[in-house]
Amino acid sequence: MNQVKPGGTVAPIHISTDKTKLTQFVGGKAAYPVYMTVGNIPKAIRRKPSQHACVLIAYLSVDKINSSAMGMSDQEHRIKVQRVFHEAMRVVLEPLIEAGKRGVEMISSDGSIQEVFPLLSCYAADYSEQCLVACTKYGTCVKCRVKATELGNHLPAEARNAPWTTSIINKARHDSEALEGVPRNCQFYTDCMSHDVAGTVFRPFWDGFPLCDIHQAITPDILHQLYQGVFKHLVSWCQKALGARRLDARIRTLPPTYGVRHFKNGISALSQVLGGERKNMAKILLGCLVGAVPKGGILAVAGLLDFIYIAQYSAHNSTTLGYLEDSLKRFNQHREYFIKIGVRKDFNIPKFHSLLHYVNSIKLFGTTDNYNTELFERLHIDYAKEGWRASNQQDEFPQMIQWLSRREKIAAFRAYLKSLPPITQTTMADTTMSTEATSTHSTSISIAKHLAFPKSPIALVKAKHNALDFDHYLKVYINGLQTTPLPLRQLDNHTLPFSQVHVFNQFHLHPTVIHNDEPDSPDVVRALRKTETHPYGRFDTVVALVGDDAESTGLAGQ
Amino acid sequence: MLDTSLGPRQCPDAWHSGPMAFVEWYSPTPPSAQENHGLMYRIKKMKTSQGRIPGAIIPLGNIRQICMLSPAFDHEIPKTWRSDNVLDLASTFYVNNWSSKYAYQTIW
Repeated sequence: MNQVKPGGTVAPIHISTDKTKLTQFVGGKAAYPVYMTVGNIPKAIRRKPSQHACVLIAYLSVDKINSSAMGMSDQEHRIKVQRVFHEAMRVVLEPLIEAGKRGVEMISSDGSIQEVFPLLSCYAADYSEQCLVACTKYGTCVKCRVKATELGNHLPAEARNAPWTTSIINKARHDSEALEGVPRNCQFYTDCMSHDVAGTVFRPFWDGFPLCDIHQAITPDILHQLYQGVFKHLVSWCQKALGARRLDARIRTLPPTYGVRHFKNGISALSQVLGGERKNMAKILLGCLVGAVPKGGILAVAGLLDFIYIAQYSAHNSTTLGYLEDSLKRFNQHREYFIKIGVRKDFNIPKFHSLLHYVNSIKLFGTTDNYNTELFERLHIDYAKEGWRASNQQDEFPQMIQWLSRREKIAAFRAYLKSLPPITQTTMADTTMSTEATSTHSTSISIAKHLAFPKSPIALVKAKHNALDFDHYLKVYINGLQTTPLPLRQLDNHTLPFSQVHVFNQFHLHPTVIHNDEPDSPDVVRALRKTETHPYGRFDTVVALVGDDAESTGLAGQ
Repeated sequence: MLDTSLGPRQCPDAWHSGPMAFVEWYSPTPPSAQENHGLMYRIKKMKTSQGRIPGAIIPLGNIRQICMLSPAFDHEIPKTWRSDNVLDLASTFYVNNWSSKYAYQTIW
């Protein structure tokens, strides 16, 4: 079978697996959830855990295999663990084979019956799990046949595909079975590894899945590949290039900005760096390098940062994908800088190599926010950690499953109640609520109802806000409103007709939405006057229009 | 209504009625950003010929977005520079278009 029946509906199945710790410090309890979602669901809905668009379909075994007691070598142990994974995944996902081949009748939201073909199309996981899933030798690329020593090449090698991988495994299995005397597992392992295929599993779980190529299905991963992988390397190289203390000193000196974390002790002292912290480092890194790193280094870092930012666009076209390719080229072109200063010998790093496959994955599966592992990491809280807390922490998985299925039933019932025609009284309340909500979004600025400092004397504002020429510019402004304005140089001879102003100390900015995204939370702009505890106050920097109809923007600070 | 020294006065209709902001301008963004500055715009504090920092009263709605300024560091950081006073003490800055995904897509 190599095509879906005409008239059939394809339901691309996204799978994600990710081990997570349940206990923080002691006990070492872990869960290994398998999540599933469907590609036909809009991403705005999919990323809201409350919409239940991603479901937990299994917990894989996290039981430890006591290898020393059973007299297993490390390699045998690894083989056992990987086979258990593939066998378990086959049990979980096997129903997809028949369903994908024959189709399943489902009722769509308009009540009509559709023939749906669920096909395994995306698999999101971190690098070690990608290797496990795709039966790829650890340290090579899961998508192409590039040698581990050539990962730094500027172009990808010939693509891996599922039939090729299975043929290597089958041949190695056949050859090793024919042998006598030599341990079979061992010969099988060496044969597979010589082709950079993991020589552990005889039958990968995805073997026989209709229209599924597991190597293609492995998706890019912003969090693990870009921030915790590529960018982590980049920061460590920059620390070496500049000196960790010097970089820290620069980071400490940056002005506070809304939405940007201030690392008041620098970054080298952080022990465990979370994804959110990496993102904040990416926001400030380049500014701290300018002036200390030569042009080649700056261009390499800027190229890689461009890649990281553009890869996260929530909409792409051939132009922006061209920018993405171009940014990687710029990095590759200038990365020699890190070799020259001796912080790196080569760039044979799997995560750096994986960047070469981003454009193709985005073309196949859409923008990266469709299959980001961050989405699934968020689900750990609901589907693993909260369930764990609700259990008595003995023989926890049956309890967690029961707890979760009850919650799902409640959510389903709530959704059903919502779908019913509402009672009249609530309609009234609902409509007024919704109009209020839309009106706040249409304005791009909102400010408090009550003033922070009503009737502040102008002299006080000048001093406390570090605004020495405030009265002068007030005169300029009011003069500009007059029908016959005075020449500017005469203004100093005139006094203002009032001596007090109302002062707000902050307002909220709702930036215009790009790419029809969901609106982000508003930015807060502050102008906090000097106090004893904050002798310099805080005056945020903003971009403002110079005139009412200015096209290009000037930059201003208050 | 405007509370003037001659008593309350009605403001002319043409006057802007919403909140206003007092801003001090940095130098306009240069026509292009340099590669060795990481393609970030370099801006400076300015003084007018009368020794004033250029400023203006503008309607709050003219403020379009937040921007982060990254001070232009020399080889050594002056000892007096700290996070809370660096905007006052430094004279040259880079407009940090990496500070958010929004800034990245709107400042270039």
